[in-house]
Amino acid sequence: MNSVIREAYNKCRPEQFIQYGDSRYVDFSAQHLRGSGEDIFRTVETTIGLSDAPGLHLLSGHIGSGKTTELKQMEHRLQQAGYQVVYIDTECFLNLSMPATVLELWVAIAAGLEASLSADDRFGAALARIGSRINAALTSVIDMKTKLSALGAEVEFTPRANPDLFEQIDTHLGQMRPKLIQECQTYVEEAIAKLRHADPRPVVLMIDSFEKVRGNASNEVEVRRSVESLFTRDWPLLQSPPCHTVMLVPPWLSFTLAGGAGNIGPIPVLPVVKVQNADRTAYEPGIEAVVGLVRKRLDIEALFGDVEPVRRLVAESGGFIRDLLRLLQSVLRAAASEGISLPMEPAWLADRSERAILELRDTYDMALDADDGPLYAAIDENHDVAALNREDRFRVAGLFDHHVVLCYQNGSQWFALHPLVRATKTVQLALTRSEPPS
Amino acid sequence: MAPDFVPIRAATGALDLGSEGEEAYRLLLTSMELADGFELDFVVSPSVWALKEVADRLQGERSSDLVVQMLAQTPEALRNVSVDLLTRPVPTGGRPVWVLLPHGLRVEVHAAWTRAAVLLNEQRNRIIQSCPGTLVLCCVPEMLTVVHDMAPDFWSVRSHVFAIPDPPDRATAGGVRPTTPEPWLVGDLMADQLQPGLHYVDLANGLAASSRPQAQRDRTALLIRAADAYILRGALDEALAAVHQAIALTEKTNVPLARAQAYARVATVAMIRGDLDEALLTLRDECIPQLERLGDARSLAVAKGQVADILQARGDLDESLRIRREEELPVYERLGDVRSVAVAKSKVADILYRRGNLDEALHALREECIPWFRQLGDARSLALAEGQVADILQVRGELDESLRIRQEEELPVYERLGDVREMAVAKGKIADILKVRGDLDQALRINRDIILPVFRQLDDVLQTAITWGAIADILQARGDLDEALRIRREEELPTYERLGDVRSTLVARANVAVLLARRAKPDDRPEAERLLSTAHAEAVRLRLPEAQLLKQWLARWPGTSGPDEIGAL
Repeated sequence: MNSVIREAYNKCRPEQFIQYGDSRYVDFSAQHLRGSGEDIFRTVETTIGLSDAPGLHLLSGHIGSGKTTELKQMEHRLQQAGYQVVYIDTECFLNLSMPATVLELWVAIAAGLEASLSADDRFGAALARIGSRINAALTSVIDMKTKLSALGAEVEFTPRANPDLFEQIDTHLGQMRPKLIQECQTYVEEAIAKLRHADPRPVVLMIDSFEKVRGNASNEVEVRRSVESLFTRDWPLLQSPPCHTVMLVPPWLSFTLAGGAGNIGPIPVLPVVKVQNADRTAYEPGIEAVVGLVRKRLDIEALFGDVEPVRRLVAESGGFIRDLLRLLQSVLRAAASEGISLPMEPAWLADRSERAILELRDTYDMALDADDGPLYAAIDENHDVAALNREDRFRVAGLFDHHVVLCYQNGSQWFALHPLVRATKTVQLALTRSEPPS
Repeated sequence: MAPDFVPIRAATGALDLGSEGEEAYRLLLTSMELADGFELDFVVSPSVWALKEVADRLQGERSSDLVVQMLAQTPEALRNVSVDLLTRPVPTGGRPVWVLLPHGLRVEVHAAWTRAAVLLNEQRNRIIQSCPGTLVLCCVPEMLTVVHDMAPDFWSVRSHVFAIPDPPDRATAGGVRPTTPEPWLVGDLMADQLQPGLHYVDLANGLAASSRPQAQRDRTALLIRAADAYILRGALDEALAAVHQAIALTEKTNVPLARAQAYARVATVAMIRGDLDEALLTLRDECIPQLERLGDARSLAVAKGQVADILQARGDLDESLRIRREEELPVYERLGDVRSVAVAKSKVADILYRRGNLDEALHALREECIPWFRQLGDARSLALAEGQVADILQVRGELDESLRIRQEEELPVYERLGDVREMAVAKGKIADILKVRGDLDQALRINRDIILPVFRQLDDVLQTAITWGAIADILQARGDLDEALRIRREEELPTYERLGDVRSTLVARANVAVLLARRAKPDDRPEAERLLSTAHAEAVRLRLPEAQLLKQWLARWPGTSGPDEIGAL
């Protein structure tokens, strides 16, 4: 097996995110390929730097858009700028396929802080476990022991292992929620105080993975409503962490709350790298920048002889890097399988690249729903979701999750069909049907 | 429509995957040789045999440094696949490869995949960290969309989808078993193949998470299967709940055949409960017109057969026979469905037997049914037909031959099939012969010590009640009236009442009345009369054949012909 190909192949693994300091990192925002000004993460950093008052900063982006990579970069930059950062992965504490409430979110934050403090030698058992604190809060209420016994002695604070926990709390202790939220808030305040006592640097909480909260056909509406309520009705209850908090939220929130609940303003979404214009012509600076990303991973000339085939793959990826990596892996795999000598012969490479594109396109086509045809046509025509009704916005959110629709930003935000998706039979049929009769 | 996943066969040699398929397999192997750390690959094909071939080849792969482990393969095990991945030790000595190739009935695999996909999505990061090797998910295209829909984060980190077209030599490889038509009636279902109803309800609930029309169609099919399982175990309320849920779904999915099938179950439940009018009405209003519109000749014939069953239960043997001969049999003959022809003829034989045409019935069974079942290798139908022959011989008083058939022809088949339910039923018939011969102790022992525990273990409340009835019959014959009465009142009657089985309830009440009368205690008489009158009124209302017999009893009650001469119903 050709060791050059093997090395290249493993540098294109789509599941990996880039840690700080990884030489493969490319700052697309600095090249204004993810918006015309600062990128959304740097904007938040600037706000944190300027504002003494704590705030909750919401960010979003579709799966694989690089949110976690950017979050890791941001974590490092904040540390460099004199902050101590606590990273909380809500996936560890919440069942993200169930409706979310403000209490659950507070418990996740408290439990995340508890985990962080427990792992830090400086603190030991300085704070009682959040589960114990909540038990104490519950049992302090008269007659509450009777109700608790119905829950099974003591509340075990592992919501993921006990998905019915909050339902049980609702059933038995409906009126207790405000008190429990307050208990969690107090816990968080005390934990932050402990952190600052040990280290005077300001604290920033980073709440990752909450963008993955997502219902299914049976509870989709319920889940979405619950999340919307969090950021509208319950917004005041969320704003009180005693430090700056950066939180990733589902991208569909930016569609469904757009223009509506003005409390939180627009939610910035991390766009994909702009490699195409709205009229589907290539955006050269974007393509060049992504070629630069490939160059950081592979020796393009040694492998492909020329940059042109890579540019073609970049354009077809729509700026969605995981698809680009898949396309590159596909070509490299074929070269290894056939024992192709390097650099690859142009005719073979052109043919194999085309096949890789077709294969990935067909994979998209397999999962497309023909019933969404009018939506494909609307997005292809308007590049916007503002004119869509609420139901259709939810559908677009689903398409966004699956990279059928990509978000770009240069100046304002705009949307387009993924180039590979647009070329599928399903979408082509939908576009043909939507054309007015000549 | 994707085929059912079939049970994994023994490897019979390499299957030619075709040029595209062979290339895809080579590329899959290359991926494994190239990759360091975690990689997620899909192998997708419309042919289950092709997927099986890929899995077989990977397991036998000698050319590369792979350590292949097969993961959960059944729908039941599939739900634990993420835990399995996270907890099993990582193999050493080469690149670990985990292959997931679930098989089973398509709708069950679909449902189990849906659940598994949600969990794989949730545990994605942990799986990536814990599995430094290639995870290969082999599936039909339909299941690929399940992962796409239900596990978008997991799907997003895939490396490649290797597509394998239908291999060119499917036929020579044994062929993919075609999706057989869904059996409709409880009598046609293989009891030992059905899991408890809750199993199917649980799977159906898993599919509720998917918005795809196919998922909702499969959900409907699973709910209908759940209803069948519940009906077999006598849990009629649960069966109706499942079937009404299925009917509600068919309103959304607009699948008229499934809707007709669901209503056939409603009719089955009504029939079991003795509400024959309701059963007929359901079939004639909701089921048959739908099937006529669809032009589905086979399903229509099955529904007509169900009408014949109801008419037979009502005692309208002539019309029942006419339907069998004129509306059901010709359809199967036209379709060339030899097995269904033989089954329908065995039902004709049953009607002939009930009309007293014993010779004709025996002839039909021995000449037109049994030889076909033998030729088809349909052991179960053969055993059922042999059982019918034994019934006839028993009525003719040929107890030795009847017993021989039960013990040598019928019972061994069920033992071979591992069908404990039918084994118990056959043993009940043997006990019945022993009872007729006067061997009451042995008959009692078989019912109480062998049959009853089986039905209890199977949680089959209906058969348990029937067995209690048989025990009461024997005790009654032995003169142990108090214990027989206790069993009728405490074990048998409450079950029928709970099940809403009006026919069995009225029969059981009449039998309690008989016992009370036989006990000859003066205080019992009013209750006995009341029970008998109620049973008669119910039988008249439901137009059951038992009405005639009960009327005769009441006419003689409490005349010189004592209950001793009546005997149990």
